Amino acid sequence: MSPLLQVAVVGHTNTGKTSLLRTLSRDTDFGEVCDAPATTRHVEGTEILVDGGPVMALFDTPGLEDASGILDWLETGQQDRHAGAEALERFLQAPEASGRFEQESKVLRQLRSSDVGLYVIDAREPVLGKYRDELAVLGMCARPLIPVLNFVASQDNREPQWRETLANLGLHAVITFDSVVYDLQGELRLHEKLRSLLDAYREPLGRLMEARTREAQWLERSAAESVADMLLDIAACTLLVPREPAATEAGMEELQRLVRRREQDCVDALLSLYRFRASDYLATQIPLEDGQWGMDLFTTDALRHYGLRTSEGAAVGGAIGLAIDVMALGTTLGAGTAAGATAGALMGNGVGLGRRLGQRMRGQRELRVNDTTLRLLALRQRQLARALSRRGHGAEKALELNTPTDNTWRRGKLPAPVRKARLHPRWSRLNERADGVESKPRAQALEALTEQLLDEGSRV
Amino acid sequence: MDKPARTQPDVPSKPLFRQRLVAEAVRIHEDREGRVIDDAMAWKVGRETSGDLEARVLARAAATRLGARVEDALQGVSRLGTWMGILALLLAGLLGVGAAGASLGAPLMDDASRINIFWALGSLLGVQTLLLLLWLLVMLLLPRAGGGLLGHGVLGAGGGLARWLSRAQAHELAVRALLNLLGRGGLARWSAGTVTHLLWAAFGAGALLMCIWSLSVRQYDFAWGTTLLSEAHFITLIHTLGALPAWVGIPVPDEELIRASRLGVSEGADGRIAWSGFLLGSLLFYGLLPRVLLGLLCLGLARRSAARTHVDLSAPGYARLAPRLQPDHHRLGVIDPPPAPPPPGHAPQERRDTRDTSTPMALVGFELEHARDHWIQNTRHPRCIPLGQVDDRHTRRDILAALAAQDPAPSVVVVVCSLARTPDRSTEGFLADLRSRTTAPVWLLLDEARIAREREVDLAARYRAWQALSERASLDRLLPDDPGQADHRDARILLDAFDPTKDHAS
Repeated sequence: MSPLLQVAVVGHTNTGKTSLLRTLSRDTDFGEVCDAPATTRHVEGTEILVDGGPVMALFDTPGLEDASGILDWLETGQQDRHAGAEALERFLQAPEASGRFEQESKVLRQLRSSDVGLYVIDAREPVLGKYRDELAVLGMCARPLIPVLNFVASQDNREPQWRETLANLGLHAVITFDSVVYDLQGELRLHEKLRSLLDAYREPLGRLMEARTREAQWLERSAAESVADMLLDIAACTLLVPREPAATEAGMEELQRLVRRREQDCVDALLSLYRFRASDYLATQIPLEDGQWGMDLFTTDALRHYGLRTSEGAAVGGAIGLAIDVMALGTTLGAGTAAGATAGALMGNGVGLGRRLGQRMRGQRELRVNDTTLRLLALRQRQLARALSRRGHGAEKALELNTPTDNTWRRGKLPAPVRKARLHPRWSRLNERADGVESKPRAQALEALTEQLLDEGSRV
Repeated sequence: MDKPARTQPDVPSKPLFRQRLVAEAVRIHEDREGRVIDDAMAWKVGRETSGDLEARVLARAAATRLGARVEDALQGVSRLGTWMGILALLLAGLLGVGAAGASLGAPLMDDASRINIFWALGSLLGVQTLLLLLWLLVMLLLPRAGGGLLGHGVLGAGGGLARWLSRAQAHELAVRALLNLLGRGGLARWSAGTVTHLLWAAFGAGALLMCIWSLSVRQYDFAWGTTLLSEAHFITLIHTLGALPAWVGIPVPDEELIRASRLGVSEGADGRIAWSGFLLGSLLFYGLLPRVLLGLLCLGLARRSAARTHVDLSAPGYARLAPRLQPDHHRLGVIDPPPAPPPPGHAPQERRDTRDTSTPMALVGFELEHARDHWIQNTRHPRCIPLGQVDDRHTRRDILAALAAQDPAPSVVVVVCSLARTPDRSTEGFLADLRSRTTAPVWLLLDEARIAREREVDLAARYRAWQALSERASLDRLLPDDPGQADHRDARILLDAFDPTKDHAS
């Protein structure tokens, strides 16, 4: 077994070295990330595992801050010009290397003991002399160096200038990889580049690329399935309450509570799936705060944010929320709650009429979630899944979700599996008798809905 | 994903299938409970299992206490399944016996000992041959739905019965898991097919035995007749059907005998044996054998797909285990500790005041975003001398030389820095160096806040970093006071600061 590939991540201070490492290793808690100089001042390592076995060791290094100083020192201190590596060796032996330039020499030592260096560049920065000096100093380490242009997703990046400068320095294998805005293809290109430079590590890098591709597909599918599962649970959720207004109101609150909790479960599942933690979102940003949706499901704001209209089915008043049994056609409950669930919307199906009639006779009514709520839930969770799949683990800012641009889920009929779930209260884990959760028809509906969500995902 | 199967092709499928059953049972339980079983030991076992995610999921499920109970329950379930299978086969065999008895005992003729050969064949083989053709048709046209209604029905009923019989939680979960996995894709098709064919085979065997028994101990006369069809058709048909039994040596009627057996014509004792051979041979070759062969084929395919049926790792119940079972990184910790904090260094130097306002001030641009178009380059005010822009080591030297060449020395040296830059030690070194080479006060003017804002930089924090740097480099003044106003189009802020008494607006 060949030794493990060692990769040193180097670069100027505050260019996102630690972020890159976090994103590559899927570890949101690695090191410390802050928009300030010299946040990382030590060398820290992590191994990337595939099926439990390491394929690559990555080392985070402090930022290079004074490469120009090192070049000055080398120039003044020597008369005869040594070759790069020897000059560097002389520098590392000198007292300055453990004094004024201690931070820099840590970087250089780490790079010398690694197989390859990733030189992280903030592509928004102009190509300043100090960066050229850094490249000159790093070049003395006699290790292959791959420049990684970070923050390329930003509008004002200077990718062309950087590429030109790097080409002039003989560095043609440049990679663009934004550590904040994740892109599978970008990561694969990075590993591909490493593989072409380091033939000895072809096999582990190939395995890593394969694992990343497989993992991305699995993640996409699992996320879609989680969302579909939640939608079926909520669509099939039915609450039976006595026909008194007070009981109905209490029932509605109970239903809202169930739905909120089920949605939160889905949020948690998605966060954990993509290996983010709820605490990553401590910053106050709508709509996801602290892992919770900052915007309550049952508000008109939430509807507006997702471009949904409130006038679906029968009059819902100003409310989104809950719909009332089929027999109560248009009867207002007169129980406007704080959450705004006021009027009965029409659940457009007449199946199980006999049973419902029976319940009505017995003085019960059936509360269910209306279509608008389902649309909203679908939009929100689908969007969350999508946003998480594109979020780098180095991202520090809270997740920001915009209004989705496509019209899927907003108009037209709800997908067939969801409509079918409406007729099967036993499919819902939220109901008392949930003996249909493991049934084959539900599994088929789940599969169909998952496929539909995946299909939407690939179209956008 | 099918890695274990690839690396260990010789391992029989059953243990792996059994492990998957246990995992599925545990998942069903967790799904009902709404939370995963938190068994530290099981998590550890799962994490330390080498291999892909599925191997870890299976190992973890087997290591839970529930998993062990399900494992035990599975033996009971398989025993129950075996008994139910035997019972079903016996039942089918009895049905076959009954059918054969009925068709031989009720020849629908005046004389109770005469059998209409085609009537008997039709009643014993007709329906099942039709169903066999239907099965083949469904398998060809709708391979995803195929498997046989009978098999699906029996499996479903058996599962229901088993669930009704097994009240214990582990048993119930094991049955549920078995039904779930058996209902998946290829396995559903082939296991239902196996059940369908073996049941029909039992039916055929029962019928065959009953026929042998009846034909052995009772005497029948065989006959055939037709109203609508021609005799030639019948002869061809009997020959065709009899070809296979004849091939293995079973006596079948020849043409003469067939003609002689037509209703109303008398026949001899030899004819009885030949006709019995024909009847029994047909039952064997067209009733029993195809079903047995297809049943065994389906059984083989079912076993193969059992080995290939993976648990659905993308299902929420399994997917949520992945982050805890499959670590994707292993931290190595700090390799090289941070350097000791720099010594306090030179004591803060005495602040230099701007007294002499008669000489102009010197302007230096330092690593600015758009250095060439920066307003410093175009400042034509008599009180400002632009010394140039610092970009690299050479321009640093040039600027220091240009500053030294200023005679008289400027009243103030202003270094314009960009808020878009992160202050670093190199900058600090230059500024400290610059200040040590002049007697004039050195001011730091921050600019380009707009660019920093566009990059979503936290302006206040960035400003504080620059402030700390200016203190470390003992600079005499930091402008402006508010990072929000660090956007300049000309030197006015400097002129104001330089000589606040004058109005420089003009």
